[in-house]
Amino acid sequence: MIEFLYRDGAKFGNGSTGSMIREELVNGTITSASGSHLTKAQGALNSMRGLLKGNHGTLSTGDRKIIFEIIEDLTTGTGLKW
Amino acid sequence: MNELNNINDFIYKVLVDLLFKILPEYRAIVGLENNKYDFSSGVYLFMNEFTSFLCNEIEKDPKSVVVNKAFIFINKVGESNNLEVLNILRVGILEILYTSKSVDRELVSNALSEKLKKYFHEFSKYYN
Repeated sequence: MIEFLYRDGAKFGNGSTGSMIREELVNGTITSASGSHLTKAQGALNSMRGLLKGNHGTLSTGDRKIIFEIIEDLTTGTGLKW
Repeated sequence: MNELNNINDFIYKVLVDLLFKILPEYRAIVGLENNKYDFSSGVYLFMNEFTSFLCNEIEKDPKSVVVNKAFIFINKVGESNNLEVLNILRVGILEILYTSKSVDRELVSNALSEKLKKYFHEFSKYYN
């Protein structure tokens, strides 16, 4: 799933879904060329929640770090809540 | 808000059912039994996974039956005028195809309808 939340070759930000949403907010329309990434991001947050709940205690420190980085990217400046 | 989520779930189900109708091979791959849908991650990530599968198939054989059927599905969805469906197409499928290093953009463009070619190439504003 992580490969879908960070795409190489982005002309702005770091290629993350969060970056795209922040760019969409700047552009101000959901019919911008990129499309709206908000619902995708909400689905990803639901998945992160499921991963943390379902694997409590078995996730490595590295995995938890990645999950929380994704959560931070998706909820910073996007209007989405964790 | 739960009632409104039903709209997303409905769209998910319709698109996934259409995908499996056109490309039954993919149902076997995801191991989805009849009438069991996992809505939790949403249709976008489901379509991202499907597109990743498609990219692998294109790499193996761009003229395969599976690739051909996959583009029949994509172009069929592209006939919709529903903005959310078109957004799912853009963000769930076309963006992944555009940004996949293993996939030739011209090959993809040639397989898309005229309407979807336009959406596909618009990603050049956001990606190198």
